Amino acid sequence: MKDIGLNTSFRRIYIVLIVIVGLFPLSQYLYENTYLIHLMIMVFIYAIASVGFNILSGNTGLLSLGHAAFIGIGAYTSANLAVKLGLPFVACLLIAGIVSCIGGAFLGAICLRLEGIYLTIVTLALGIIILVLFRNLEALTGGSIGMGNIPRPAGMSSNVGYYYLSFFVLLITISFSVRIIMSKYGRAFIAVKEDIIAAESCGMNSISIKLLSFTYATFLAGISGSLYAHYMRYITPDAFDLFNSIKFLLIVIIGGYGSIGGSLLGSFVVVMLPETLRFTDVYYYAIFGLIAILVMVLFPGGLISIGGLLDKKVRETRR
Amino acid sequence: MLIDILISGVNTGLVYTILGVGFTLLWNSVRLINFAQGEFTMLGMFFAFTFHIFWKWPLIVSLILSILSVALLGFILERVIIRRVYGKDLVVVVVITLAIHLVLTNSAKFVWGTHPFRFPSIFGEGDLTKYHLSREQIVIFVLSLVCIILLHLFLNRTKVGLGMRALSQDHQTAMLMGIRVPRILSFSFVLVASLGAFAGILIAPLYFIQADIGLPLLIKTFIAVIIGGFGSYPGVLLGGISVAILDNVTSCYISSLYRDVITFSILIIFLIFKPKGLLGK
Repeated sequence: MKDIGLNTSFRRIYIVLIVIVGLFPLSQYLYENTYLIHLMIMVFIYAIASVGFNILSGNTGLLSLGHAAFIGIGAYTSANLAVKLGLPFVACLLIAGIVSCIGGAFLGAICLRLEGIYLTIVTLALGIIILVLFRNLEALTGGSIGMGNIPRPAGMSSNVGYYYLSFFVLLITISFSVRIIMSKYGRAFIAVKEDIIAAESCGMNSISIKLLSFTYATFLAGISGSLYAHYMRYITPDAFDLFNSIKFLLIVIIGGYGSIGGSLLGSFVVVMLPETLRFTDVYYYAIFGLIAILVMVLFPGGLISIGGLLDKKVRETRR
Repeated sequence: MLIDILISGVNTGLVYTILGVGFTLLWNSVRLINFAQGEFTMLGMFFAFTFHIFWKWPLIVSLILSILSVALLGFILERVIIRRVYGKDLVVVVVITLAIHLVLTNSAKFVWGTHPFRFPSIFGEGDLTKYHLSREQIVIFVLSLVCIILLHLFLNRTKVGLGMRALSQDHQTAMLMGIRVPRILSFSFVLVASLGAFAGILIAPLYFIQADIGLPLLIKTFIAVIIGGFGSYPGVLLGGISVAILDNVTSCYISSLYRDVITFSILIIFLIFKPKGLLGK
């Protein structure tokens, strides 16, 4: 239990957090801070994708550098369905998830027999291929200029409405992912990461385990992309480039590798950091990189491990 | 036309080879995959440009100094950060080197701005033959060939080079044989940094110099290394030249828009059907 940051002693903290986040939009009646609500929506959207990414890379150990491309597939699918076919939001969301997931299954099928760095390079290559397609298939994606006029879901024209929508989707994602991680499949993911030969000798089919991990992660990526498209209402290929894929890696590393709580914390930090670092201007990405190196060296388990470390220290002093 | 493409392909391919040899060196000895390797090339270009154009130092001095400064940077990086990640998990290595890549690229953007510079032709222009073979291309060809031959001799004849190759076989045994492993590793990293800078100077007149040139170059190097065969030195030469020629041919005869799609698809096909590459062991 402790491994995924769901220790029962933390349960109270989680409930408090959910209530705080749930009541957060009320703060805009106290003072004008609609911008913070915008940022929180971005945190939710990133968190949905990075929970999946963390299961793929953190739990199963399949390090991907092309995740943003799958978010892009979800975003463009959803945008096309909504703009050209006029489908309702929920249908767009689910179909975007499924289409992205089919792409993920394709990638998974390519990568099945590859390990380690080979797999990372294939995901990198595929991410770049998909990005080039986004830029050039103008009929479907609008080319480099992007696609606009994506409608908001009915009744969600305000950011507060969208806040609750994405928060709701995030909560579903988390509860579903926790159940997967704690099921036999979750343990199989970790087994495949730790020692693939041992896992296979225990009767696991490593290929189908990897495929499952890929499809689940890319499904969430598609959902996240769809939410992003309908929130921003305008998407360009640049939002899904290599740097954004790297961002997901940084999210799980800064937050906590292989932990759902870590993905959430990481998304929060990575989305909020640019705002607090805004005074550093052009230094921003350089400082971002430095922070990642520092976290990696000081807290190899990510920021989420600080809680556990403190807990351990308190217990030691009590003795 | 085809001959032009082949000539420039071979030239670029030789430069990829220099980068790929550096990559292979680190991969073989410590399984290090360095996403910041392209940044050495980028910095080599920028240093040479600054020394020669901004500060008006003589050409040879500025070229040598730019290689030395990148080598120094490589030394510091190895001592402070890279040394900690040898033998760690793939994800640690990838994230740390990607973070270094971010830091270096964006510092370069801060120092030199995002506006691309044009490096003047160092070795003189002018066609020598009917094949539009500029003096530039001949110099690049000769220098990179000399560099590759020297590297080959270095890895096969000198004590340090043999030490590096011993490391790629077995760390423990190498240590027992009296090879100072940390020193050799440090030297390898510095060598890779200076090779990167050297390659940067060679191709500086062909490319626009800008801060984010590093990663695309590194990705091309990856492709060259994989097509040639991971860990094989002759493979790097073959892979580098094939990638460069492939790039030129597709952008010339098929579509420059979809050039990357074709190159990367070939990479993926290789990884599926022949993951050891053309000459891999």
